[in-house]
Amino acid sequence: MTNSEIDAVGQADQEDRALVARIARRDRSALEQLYRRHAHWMTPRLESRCGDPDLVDMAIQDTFVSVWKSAKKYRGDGAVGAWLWGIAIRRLIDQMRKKRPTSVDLQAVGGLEHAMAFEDTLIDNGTHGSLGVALRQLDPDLRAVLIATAIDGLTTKEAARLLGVPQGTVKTRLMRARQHLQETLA
Amino acid sequence: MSYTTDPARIERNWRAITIELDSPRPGRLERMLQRLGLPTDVSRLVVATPALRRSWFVALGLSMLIGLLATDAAKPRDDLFVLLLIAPLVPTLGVAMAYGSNADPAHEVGLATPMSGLRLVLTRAAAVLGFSAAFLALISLLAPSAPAMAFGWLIPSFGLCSATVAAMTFMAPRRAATVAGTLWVLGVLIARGAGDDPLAAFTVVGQVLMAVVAVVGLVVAVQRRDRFDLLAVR
Amino acid sequence: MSMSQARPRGGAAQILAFGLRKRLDGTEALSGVDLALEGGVVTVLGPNGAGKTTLLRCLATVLAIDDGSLLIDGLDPGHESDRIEIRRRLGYLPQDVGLAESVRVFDVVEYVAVLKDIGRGSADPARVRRHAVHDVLDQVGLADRVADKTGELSGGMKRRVGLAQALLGSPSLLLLDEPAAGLDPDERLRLRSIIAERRQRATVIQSSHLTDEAATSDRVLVLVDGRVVFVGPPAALAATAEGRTWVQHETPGPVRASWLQADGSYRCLGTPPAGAQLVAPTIEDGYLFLRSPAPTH
Repeated sequence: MTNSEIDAVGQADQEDRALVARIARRDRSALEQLYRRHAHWMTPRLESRCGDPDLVDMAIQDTFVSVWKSAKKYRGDGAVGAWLWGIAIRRLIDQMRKKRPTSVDLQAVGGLEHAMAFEDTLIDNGTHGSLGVALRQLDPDLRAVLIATAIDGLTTKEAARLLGVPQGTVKTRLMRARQHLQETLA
Repeated sequence: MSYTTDPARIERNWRAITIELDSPRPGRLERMLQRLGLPTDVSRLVVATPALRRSWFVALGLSMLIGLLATDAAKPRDDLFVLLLIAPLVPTLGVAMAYGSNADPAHEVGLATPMSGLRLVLTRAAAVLGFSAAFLALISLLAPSAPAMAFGWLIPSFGLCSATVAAMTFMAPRRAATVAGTLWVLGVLIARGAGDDPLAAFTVVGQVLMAVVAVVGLVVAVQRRDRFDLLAVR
Repeated sequence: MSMSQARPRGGAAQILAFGLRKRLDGTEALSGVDLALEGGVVTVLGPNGAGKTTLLRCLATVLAIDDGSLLIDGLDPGHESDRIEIRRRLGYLPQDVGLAESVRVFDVVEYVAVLKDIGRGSADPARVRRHAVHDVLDQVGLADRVADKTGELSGGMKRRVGLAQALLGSPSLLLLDEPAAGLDPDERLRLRSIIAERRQRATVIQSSHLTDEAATSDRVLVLVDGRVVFVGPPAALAATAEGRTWVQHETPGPVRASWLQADGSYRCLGTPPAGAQLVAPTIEDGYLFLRSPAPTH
């Protein structure tokens, strides 16, 4: 990223912060603005975690309902976009947990493929170089766990729910992924 | 990064967000029922009828009255008799108060929906029965004597409620409760007069009899469920 | 009738009735009503006690008919499974809305949404229901009153809450018993737009004892003493009094109906005397002509 791009990101976040402050003062139009600034990227990114568009829609809705209720709790450590993503991914997990298990299995398969495609472009677009190569070489199962924990910032318990595998599996896969990366990058 | 979303979807979700924010929260009672594990539609059916709440208050009041009547420690068996005689009448009264055009302002609107009238009656009956049983159980625990029989009202309550619901397919709800309640009181008093034991009606034979009444009542109600789907006009 | 002859859901409902009879309180409330309706707006006119409410209740399947046959979309309300299917397609505003005063507007409408099974089968039924409730309250103009208790509303607003309940679930048959009763002029206009907006997708049947609503409907049905005495477009209703409506200044003798007008003349309906000053009849003239018996000499 060039310096001017970084400035633009910084300024956008300043505007976001001002909106969150207004939301904390019960300003509905600020919520609408924040929603319109972020929904367009959050929706496809959530869809890359879960193949069911209805669940994604509900997660998006719940996210901004939470923002309305808990804007006061935003401490300002980290960008607003990251804070929103943290809420959104957890709301998605809530929705996936509520859904009947039979359909989750089907969705999970599609969702995983989606996730791979999405993160592949993310990796391609990124400036990570050798890290990108290393990530791409990773077994899809291991990569999904890594994305859930490192990129989405989920706990192993939450990642287990998102991916529909036991918590122990998440832990072992995470360990294997780390080993793999260390070996490739060494 | 340029990840785009269909503008129509953005609009749809924004409207959904405003709806979520503008919908009033369910009342305390409804939230409590949902926490107990009731699905949202059932909890709504239970709390939406103010008459149902009224019948709960009546149940509460009656249960307390029974508690007062049945705390004379000098004659424990007589107290228990009073408790067992009156307790089944509590939910029965509640069931009759929770259905029909007198009790439910939305009765006629409700009839014209695909919801089965019988299911509505039974849902409300179960709500009243559950609520009354909780209070009566509390009173029974406080009752001084004969713990083995202190819960002897439970099966008769089912029987009497079931009989009332069945009778409601023949007559107005309140009359149905009156008829069922009167028969119950007469039956218990006759059983008492026939032998030495004041609690004769609540022994195994009596309990089995009331269980049979419960099942038969339910069968009759199911057979005649059309009556709960139509307006009761003369 | 069995479900196999049912018409598919979707278009405006079809009503076929033949010789409907219903006895209430020992008198015949409906004595042989025939109907064939599909789509459009139908206004049932009639004096109080003519059987309007009874007819709507029978069509709403909340009253069983005593005799005759009634098919709604090919379904027979006398059979349980058919009746349930009819009720899925139905929106009904009873004459008495019946709102619990202590309950919020949102809650009374959501209650009906539960009864109508709205949201069943979706991932989050409660959320779908909230949507449906807001949509219909929006349509009747009560979106900003969702959290108010119904007891705080005016009579016209209560009527609109009832209308919102009826509109839930996009019914293909909308039965409205006196929907305009208690509405102020603005509310009436809104009601007309709501009904006009539905006439493509639904058969709308509303009752009224005033002719205002009839003028804007596709068909008018006049009910007198439990019998249908007229079915047709509003213009045809006016035409029934063609050549039988006149104005005179002397006090009228035995005629079907007559009333004093603001200019001091009498408007008369019946067989005009020779040389009477005939005037063009209105819908109201037609209605009054039909509902009033011929004078006995």
